[in-house]
Amino acid sequence: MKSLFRQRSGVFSKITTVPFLLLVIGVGGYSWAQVIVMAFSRLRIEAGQFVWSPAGFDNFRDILANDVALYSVAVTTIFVIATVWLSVLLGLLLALLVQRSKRFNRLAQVVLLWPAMVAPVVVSLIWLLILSPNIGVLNKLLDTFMLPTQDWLGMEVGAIVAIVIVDVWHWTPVAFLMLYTALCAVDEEAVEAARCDGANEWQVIRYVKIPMLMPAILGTIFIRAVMGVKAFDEMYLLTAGGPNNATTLVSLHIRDVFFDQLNYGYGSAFSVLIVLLMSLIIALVLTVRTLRHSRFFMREVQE
Amino acid sequence: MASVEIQSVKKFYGALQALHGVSIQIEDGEFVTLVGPSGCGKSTLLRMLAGLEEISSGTIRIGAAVVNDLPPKDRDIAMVFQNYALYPHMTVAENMGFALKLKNADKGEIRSKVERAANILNLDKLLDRYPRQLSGGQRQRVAMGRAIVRAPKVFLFDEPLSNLDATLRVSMRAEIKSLHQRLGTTIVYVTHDQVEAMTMADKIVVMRDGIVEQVGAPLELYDRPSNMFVAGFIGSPAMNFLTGDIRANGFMTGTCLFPIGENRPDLHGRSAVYGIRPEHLRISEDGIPAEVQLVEPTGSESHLIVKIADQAITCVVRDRVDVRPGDLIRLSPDADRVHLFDPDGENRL
Amino acid sequence: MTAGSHAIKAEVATRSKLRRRHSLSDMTSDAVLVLLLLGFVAPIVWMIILAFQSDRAIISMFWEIDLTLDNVASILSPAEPFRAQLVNSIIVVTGTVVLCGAASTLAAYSLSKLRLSGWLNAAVNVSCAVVPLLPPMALVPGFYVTLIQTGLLGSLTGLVILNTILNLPFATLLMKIGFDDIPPALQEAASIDGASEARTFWMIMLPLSMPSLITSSLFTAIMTWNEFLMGLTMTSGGTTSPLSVGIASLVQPYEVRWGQLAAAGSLAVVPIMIASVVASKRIIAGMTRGAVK
Ligand SMILES: Nc1ncnc2c1ncn2[C@@H]1O[C@H](COP(=O)(O)OP(=O)(O)O)[C@@H](O)[C@H]1O
Ligand SMILES: [Mg+2]
Repeated sequence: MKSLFRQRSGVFSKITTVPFLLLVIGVGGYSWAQVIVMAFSRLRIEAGQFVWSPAGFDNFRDILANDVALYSVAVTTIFVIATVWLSVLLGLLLALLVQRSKRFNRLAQVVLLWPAMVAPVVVSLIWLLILSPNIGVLNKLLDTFMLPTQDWLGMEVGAIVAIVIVDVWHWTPVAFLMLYTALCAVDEEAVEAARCDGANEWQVIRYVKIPMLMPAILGTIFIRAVMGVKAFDEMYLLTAGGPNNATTLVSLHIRDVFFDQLNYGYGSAFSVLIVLLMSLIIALVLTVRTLRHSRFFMREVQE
Repeated sequence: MASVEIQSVKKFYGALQALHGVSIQIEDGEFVTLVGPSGCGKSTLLRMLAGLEEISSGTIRIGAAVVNDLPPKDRDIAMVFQNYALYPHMTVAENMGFALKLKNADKGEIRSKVERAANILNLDKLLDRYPRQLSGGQRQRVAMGRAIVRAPKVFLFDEPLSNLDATLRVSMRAEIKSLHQRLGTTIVYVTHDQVEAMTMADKIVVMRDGIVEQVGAPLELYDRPSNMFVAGFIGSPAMNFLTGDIRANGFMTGTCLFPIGENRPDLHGRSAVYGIRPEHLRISEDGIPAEVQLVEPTGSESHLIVKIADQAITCVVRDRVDVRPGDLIRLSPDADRVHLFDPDGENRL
Repeated sequence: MTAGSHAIKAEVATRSKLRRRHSLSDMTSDAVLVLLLLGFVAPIVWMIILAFQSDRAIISMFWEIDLTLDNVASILSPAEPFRAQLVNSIIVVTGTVVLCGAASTLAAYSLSKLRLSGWLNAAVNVSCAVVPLLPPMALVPGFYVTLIQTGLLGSLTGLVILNTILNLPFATLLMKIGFDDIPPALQEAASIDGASEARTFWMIMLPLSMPSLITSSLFTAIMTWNEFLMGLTMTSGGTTSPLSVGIASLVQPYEVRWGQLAAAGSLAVVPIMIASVVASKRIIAGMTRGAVK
């Protein structure tokens, strides 16, 4: 029931949002405005000060003419698709296994938190210690069994596969936790009803649990996809975008352009483009979802 | 202590009108219950008294002062909520003393007032417990204690017993009533349970769909309901209604003739609704023939559902009777306790 | 023997058979699970082992064991920036937790329990929905310029502000979920008892939202402790940077000190592993609750 508090609001409720708005809209919004202005400017540093001059769409033209920029979008797309599917599938498998397991249930939930909570920087350290051509434990193992060793991060395919594996290792636990929580919320009676109807374990999973988990699975895919676009830290240390830009994610490209090439306008323009692209995709996803929903609704109404 | 005056109060929630001009006069020290089916606007009215909802139009006076624009804390009222609304992080004593603490009363004074209230409610041993460590009935008592400590002009209760089990509800009913006798403070008590309303109140306000249907003492409502809604709402099992017409020698429905107490020639010949309470029907040799359809023994009495002139009628008999579905019995209504209603306006004739 | 007891026996028999088959498949599924868990834990354990291995044993082509505390001792020596970076990280984490906790609690309270004017409400809601979707790297150029303009580039204050901005939306969401669970009748009871809006918040709502505040603060702390990008781009390295950047700087093109690297990584991981054992329930609840949206 709505109360009078919601109708008669005093000074207090106005003050409460001030810190939030000052930080997020004030500082954050202002900074984003700077990005947009920079995207249409040419910047030089003279005597430690930025000198701005308008550049129209020059920066955007440069991006379209730059192979690395386009390449980074392609690499990111591949990276996101691969990591999302692998981590959601693996997370689903883990969720089903953990729910079945009586002995390892608690242990698994604690242990699976670790990769997700380790600092990304440390994640890349951990994997350097495994993948390094000289001291990496992977090569050491291969050598022990007389198999050929490789410079995993030095090959294009090896490097891509490596960053996908590292990302899946790092973030599958998040997918697991979300799916596991959803799985625990699945109505136990529906599962038992299916068992009474003669469904075996696999059929219960296939025809009862997974359909009921679908909203959670879609949500997890969405969140993991956003995380994929944001990825930076691990790859910055593991491959720094190499070899031959094979692992240049968009974030790595922005950093490189902005801080190494000191091409501020171009870097900002690329940021703007990426955000636009993301908004477009998210808008598309939301539209499709709403349409789907309304079609469902229509069908239900007709029936 | 104070009287309360509610004058043509209306409430709109956007386009929805929850109260259509309600006027009620509550005397100083009176125990008034607002009763009516769920959704009829009882809580809305009570919350407007408390200052928790804005008053769309009309005026509310507590004592002499118009309180329309006063915030809750300045109205000198105390409220007991349906779910008690105890502060979970405070002990019983802290819960009860919170209002005084906010007024910067000194510690000793708070302590003694809390102890006095706790004493009245048998909460002495629970003062250092937290709400989660209490049973439902104890929480209910703490909620009342919190109200008592403040010694307000008016107590407001919103269905305070609806979360208790049946036995506890009966004993709390008596407790609240004796509390009222002891403190003498004006009480406005909302309930959807007509038994609660009947047993506790000095005055009952029956509401339906945002309108006051009748105001009166409990037995007044029972004896002279002013319309079919009140007649059906007050009393359990509910009053029987039969349709037919009034003749010089009684009320005719189908082929059956029912007696009417006072003869009112002005009504002869018109169609009407005949109301008779189940407890005012007797089994007798010379009654109206009825076919038993269902027998519901409750122990102390039995409810018979019978058919007369194709209409189902409930009848309460005190003595054990040996009847079964299908049996034919004869029923006599107590002619002095017959109610007649206008079938169109549903008002008392 | 009666037919009935036969039937019961048969049922018991099939039941126990069922159970046996179940337990067999339970064992295989447990085995798969344990293998997967090992896959998730082994890399971390390997790093911790290397932290106590001498460089010679690490570089060796063979499986040598040569335990030593040198790695840990050397990164903790005063000559290394590690200690200063540790202090930086602690300061930034503390500052962020306090600032973010205060701002998110207040904003969430008014979202959940107070009537805001339409556009204030929309502004907070939209920021909560949009900011978590933006790649932080896309914001870096803007933050960089803003910090230069305010003279905060390279300062810990700057890092506190940026970390707060990045964590605020999620923290606010968590706090709002917490406040939504508090029944509105408590607020009404408080107003009848005579409490002002501010006092209701301070004496009733804040104590009751403590569990949410602890969860969201734990989250903010972990995220800030782990944060790398802002530390990397907004400080000039060395003793000015937070721990994560310090660890990264140990990976150098020439002559990597692997043992030190592993030791530094282990030191950063251990507090978090302990936190996750102690507070796993809270962390899981926070992760999944916030993500449900
Ligand atoms: N905050 C509100 N917004 C809109 N409609 C409301 C609100 N509160 C109550 N109502 C409506 O007002 C009517 C009366 O409600 P209420 O006073 O709670 O009934 P009661 O307490 O008698 O069950 C109901 O139809 C209810 O739906
Ligand atoms: Mg109500």
